[in-house]
Amino acid sequence: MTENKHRESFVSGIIKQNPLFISMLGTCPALAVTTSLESAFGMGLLFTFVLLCSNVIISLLKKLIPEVVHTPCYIVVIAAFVTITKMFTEAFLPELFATLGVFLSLLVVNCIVLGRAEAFANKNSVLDSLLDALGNGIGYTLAICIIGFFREALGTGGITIGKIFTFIPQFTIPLLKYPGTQVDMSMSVFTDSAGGFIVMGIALAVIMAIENMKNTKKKVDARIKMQQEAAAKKLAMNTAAPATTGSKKEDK
Amino acid sequence: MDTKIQFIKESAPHIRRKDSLNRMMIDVVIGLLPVVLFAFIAAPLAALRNLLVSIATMELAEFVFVLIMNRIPYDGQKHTMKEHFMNAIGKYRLSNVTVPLVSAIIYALIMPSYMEAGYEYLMYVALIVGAVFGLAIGKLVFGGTGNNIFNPAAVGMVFAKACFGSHYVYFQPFTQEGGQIVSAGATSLGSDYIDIAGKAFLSDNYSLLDLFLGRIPGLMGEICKIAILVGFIYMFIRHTIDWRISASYVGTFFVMMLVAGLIVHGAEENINPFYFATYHLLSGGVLFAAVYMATDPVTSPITRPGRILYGVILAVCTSFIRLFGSLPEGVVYSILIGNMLTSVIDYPKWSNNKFTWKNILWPVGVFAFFTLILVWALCVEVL
Amino acid sequence: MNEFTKNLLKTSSVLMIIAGGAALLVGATNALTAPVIEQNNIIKEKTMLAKVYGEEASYLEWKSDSEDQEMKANGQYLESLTLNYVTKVWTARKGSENLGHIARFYGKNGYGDIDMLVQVGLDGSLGNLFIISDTMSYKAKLESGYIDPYNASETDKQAALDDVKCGATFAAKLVKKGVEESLMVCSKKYDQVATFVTLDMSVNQEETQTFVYTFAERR
Repeated sequence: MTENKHRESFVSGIIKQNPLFISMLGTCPALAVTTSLESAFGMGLLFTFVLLCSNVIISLLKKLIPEVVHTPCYIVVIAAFVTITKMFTEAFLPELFATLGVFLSLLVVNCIVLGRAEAFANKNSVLDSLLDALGNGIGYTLAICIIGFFREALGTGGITIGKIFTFIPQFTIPLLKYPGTQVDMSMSVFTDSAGGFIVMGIALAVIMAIENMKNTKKKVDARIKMQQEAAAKKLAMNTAAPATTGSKKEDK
Repeated sequence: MDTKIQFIKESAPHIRRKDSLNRMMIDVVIGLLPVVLFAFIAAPLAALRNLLVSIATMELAEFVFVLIMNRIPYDGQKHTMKEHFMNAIGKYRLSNVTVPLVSAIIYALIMPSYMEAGYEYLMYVALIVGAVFGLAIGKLVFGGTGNNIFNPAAVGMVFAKACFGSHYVYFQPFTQEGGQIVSAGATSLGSDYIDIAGKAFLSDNYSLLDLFLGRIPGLMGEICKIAILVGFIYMFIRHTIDWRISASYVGTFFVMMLVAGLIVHGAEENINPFYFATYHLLSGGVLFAAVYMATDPVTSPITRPGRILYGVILAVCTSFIRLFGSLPEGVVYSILIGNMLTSVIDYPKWSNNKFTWKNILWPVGVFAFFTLILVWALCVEVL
Repeated sequence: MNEFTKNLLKTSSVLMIIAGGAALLVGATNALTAPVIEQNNIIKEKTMLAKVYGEEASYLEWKSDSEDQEMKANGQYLESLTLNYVTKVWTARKGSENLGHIARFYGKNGYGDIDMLVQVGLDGSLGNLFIISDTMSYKAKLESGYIDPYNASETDKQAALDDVKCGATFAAKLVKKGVEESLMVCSKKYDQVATFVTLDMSVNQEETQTFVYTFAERR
């Protein structure tokens, strides 16, 4: 039973209860930092770290914090972790820090971090909270990387890797823009905020369409099953009625 | 009692005539013919390419939309693709052909003619991308014909400009040169301007007759005013469009530019206010938008006083963008803003078709308020 | 102790423990990372300035209250003025001789913003220009159309500056204004009014607003 619960809390954060696409939380960084795939990935990584630490600590302290002051306590814990994340990023990954800018500080009031703390971490064990944080973090990273991939590919023409994580040698995968030739079909609207809304809207539309198809399928299948069961029951009653009278006759 | 009251859901435009939607669309196409003719005379290859590509793309997009929307819904059994296809073909109507045709022609006429040297292939990319985006996200996701909020041609043109605008080149007809590369949109307002009293409003290169006949750089659809007027007269005779929208748009815009011209005249003596106002009226896409784009029956209000208010709002937006914005050409953006406000104007709680005092007061009030703001802001800047 | 006081003490002690723990954590991290951050900033500024005069030179910043008597004697300090564009000025020095000045200016117009370095010689002559901001909306056009030809022209820099004919005309005009102000600050000719620029620096300076300036500023 607990095995199932561990697996459930980890897996549900990735696809089924994806914090960005299904619960629609944390959309502000999703629109702002996804101008390139690398910065989106970096944001996802830092977000996972903050979520992990805050979930574990809050789950450890859940018996200690009285109910009336639980919100400021959570905020203090989350803010502490965001501050140390900022300091480490500024020291060791300065390009990522310059790209993310103020959105790193906004993680303090990110709905997902606070929401996970309030909804999950203060009711469940430390291990479950840890797995839940990992699952949600992976799901959020996946979601913003998808948006970042499309925005960068359409907006600048290629995926550039190595600009932010400078230990990787920089290289560009050209998709729409081939340097050295005159082929440049990059659409600059996708690196602006308007393009962010458009890509996110289309991604949400696709997700909702898949959800709707699954729901319709489930409903129609259930209805057909009910009809079939009703028909079978009717048939069974019709065939059963003459059989009982026949057996009665035989008894006599 | 066997009679049942039937409620038939109809989409805008709500006009009681036989086969009214198709008839109206064909009338608009005929009304666009003078402008198309001028485009063919001025720049034949560019016009041909623009028209063919945009018509083909928009018809294809609409066809795909019909296919997707009319597939057989899920009922537990497997259907082959052919069955889906046949079901959808049965639902394909003539209006699925004529309505995108109108949008495509308007879109082709307001897209630029050439791209920068070396990027000619980008013209096709821009046309296709803008057409698909304009039709799909400007119209189809809202539910198709009759349900859209924004003018699909305007949406497509704005998207293509935002994507590829840095490569645009606007041509000048009847001359040998290719054109001028611009960075912020070009009409006769954006090129060699005169700096008069700190505002670059007028250009000394083109006389009013040039503007009227179309011997200026700009978009293919909007430069020949005579063609637009001929089209307007035809559509007005056939009762296809409502003259109130065009009249209030053009009239209010002229009056506001007259007021601005008076103030500029106060600062710099040798500009005639009437010349100023006429120049602004005849340059850019004001007449083209007033006749073909603002009068689109789906995206403009239904009630008559609402239409006059709509024209006033469009004129206010256009004049503000022209005078105070950093874009030399703001007509398409003001059309999109007006489209957003159409539902508010038409809200059943406070809109009716009669000309009551309240209904008349709204356009007049909006016009007076914004003219006062314009006067104040212009005085601060110029005087 | 009644129930109320016990509750009060328990709540406040829990809050103090959590706040104290968070404070310790943040303080420890700060002690760890602050030196690293400062090093990074110094290296970043050095790399940016090395584009102008090379790696070996050392760059000394002009401060308005400079204690460096030598710099003060040479006039290498910023007077307390309100400058429109110039943000910082440095002097490049190799060994014991001055190589020249570098001014950094930042300008904004209706289409975007520019952050650039101007190389100014010791005698006030114009050198090359370098763009350091990466987020301009028309950086590529400005670079290829205006900055690169300007840097390539060896003889008459002033004429090349005036030759504004690229695809981003408004940006080039902004660059020109920034360069004029940088020249003025570096050569300390504050009373000279350039024909293209109005500086609002002292009260009794005549405001010569040309029409083109007003237009370009509004654009």
